[in-house]
Amino acid sequence: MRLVLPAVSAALALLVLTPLLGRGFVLNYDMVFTPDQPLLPDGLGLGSALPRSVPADAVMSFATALLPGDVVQKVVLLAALFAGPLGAGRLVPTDSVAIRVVAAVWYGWSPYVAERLFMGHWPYLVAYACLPWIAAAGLAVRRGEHGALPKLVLACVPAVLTPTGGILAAVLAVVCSGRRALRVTVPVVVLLNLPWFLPSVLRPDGSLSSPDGVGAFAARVEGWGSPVTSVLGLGGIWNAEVVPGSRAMPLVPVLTLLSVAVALVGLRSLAPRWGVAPARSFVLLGAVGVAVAVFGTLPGGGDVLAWAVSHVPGAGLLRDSQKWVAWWALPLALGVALGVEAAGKHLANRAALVSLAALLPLVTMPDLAWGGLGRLEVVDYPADWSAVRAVLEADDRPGDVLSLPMSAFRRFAWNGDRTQLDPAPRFLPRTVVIDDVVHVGGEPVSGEDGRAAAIRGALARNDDLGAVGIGWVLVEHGTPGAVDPRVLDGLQEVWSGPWLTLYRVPGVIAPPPPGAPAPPVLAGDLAALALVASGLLWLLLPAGRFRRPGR
Amino acid sequence: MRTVIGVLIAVVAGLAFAGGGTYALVNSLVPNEAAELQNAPAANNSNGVVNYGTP
Repeated sequence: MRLVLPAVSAALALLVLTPLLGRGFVLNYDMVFTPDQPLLPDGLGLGSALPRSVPADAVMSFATALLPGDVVQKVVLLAALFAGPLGAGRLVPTDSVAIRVVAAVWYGWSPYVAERLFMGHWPYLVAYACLPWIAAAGLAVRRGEHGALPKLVLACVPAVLTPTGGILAAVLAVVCSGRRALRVTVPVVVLLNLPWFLPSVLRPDGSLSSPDGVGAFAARVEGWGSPVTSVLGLGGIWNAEVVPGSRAMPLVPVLTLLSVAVALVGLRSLAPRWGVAPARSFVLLGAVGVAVAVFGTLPGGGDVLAWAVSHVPGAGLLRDSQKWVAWWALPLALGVALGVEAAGKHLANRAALVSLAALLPLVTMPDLAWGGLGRLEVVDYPADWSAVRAVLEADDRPGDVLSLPMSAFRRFAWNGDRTQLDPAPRFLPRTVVIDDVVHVGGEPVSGEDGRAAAIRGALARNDDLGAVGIGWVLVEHGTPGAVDPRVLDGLQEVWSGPWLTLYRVPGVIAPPPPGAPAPPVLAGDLAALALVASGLLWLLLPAGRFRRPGR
Repeated sequence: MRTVIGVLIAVVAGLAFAGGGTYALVNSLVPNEAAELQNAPAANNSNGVVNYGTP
């Protein structure tokens, strides 16, 4: 019976990812993996861009140094889709394996997983998978169990690869650990989040964002119901293009409200098993997640958010607010499972009820299966990419690379015309500047990178790109967007293929503008690493195991 | 008697579901004449940009 839950979790992960397990890369929206990602200043938050993918990029550059990038990608996705349901099932305070399976399926087969996977937000999926383990470790810290703190540290580690994941993990860890552990848990989660936090606060351009995107990135209604029902059902992502078609079924809001009602009944049995304080905090955090997620859609909410992101440093994290509903996913999954357990006591045919409850998420959202029924596919990079990388590695002339056309996103025929983030910054061995203005529904949303803005100005005036630290220009072909021929006039063509052309900028190349100062940022990285290493050693070495009981 | 009532309820509910489903389907298949195509948002990739997404 012990293997049932891991088997179900593995089956869920494989049901989604089996068609993607061959060699090659899954490249969609924000998901970019490359064969051997170089370690560059931007990966540590030392470049000019806002550290949205810090330290994820640095970690991936180390991981792809050990294993091919496509293998790393599959391992990460499989681990995330397996560990999430497994952790949720283990967290349910019950003796019934069937009830654990219900929680696992509801957590692992949710619209949050589907939409973030289709959006390419793999670090969010990793953080989502960590949440049940963080909750379990936090509750153990609250009970004062031996070795619980290092387990909490290690449970948080995969989640803190990005700012969003770091905050999701930190708040849940603090809430589950309780008030008495605050003096330990707060410093721990702050230390773990230093790798992205320090570059954010120390970067010369600040960390204010444009209010343009507040409306564009707000949670939205999926088909029937309202944004609130969509979010309560763990859906409602801003981008309609990544929403599974099944979410538009008229029955979905009805089932959502029904599941919330069952969950609320089930969560009442959490307090006698966990204790009132942890159960109440756990459910309250879920409610906060829902409230934050829908806040931008409420009357006046958009205005408040617009003011906040343009005046409060870091408030840009609230723009794609639906991501915070991850805090609600655990209470919902556990609540439904416990609600089914409670209802089962009054029914003769308990097995049928449990089976129905466990199958309901799959039946109502079958289009997550099999890579989103063909939505995700594995592709290979054209040989041009490796050729350009080799040219840049062999040439020691200074300067960063500018990627043209000026657009953060690409659509290549070799990737089925899918929208994908420009892979150049993670493929090439030098810092690559891409446009940070994104277009949502045809409307531009300004970025935060002052250097990208300066380069846009230089391109418009046809100024010398060397003066803004650009030594190379990469033109990507077969993707929408025009390149002004005047920009390329004075450049020297170094390499050209069907998909890419590399140019050298002649003349003197100025140094790139300074980013966040390296010493404090690297000190923060080392402090976080030291904490993780201490946690590992504490669990692996026999330290502390000789403590006398009762002391 | 209970069986007859049960069958009646099942048939009526089934017809209601089928009728409602057909209505929803037909309604969603009929072109919406109120749509102002001239003012419709630009399709992805027009104006030479790749949209990050569509709200």
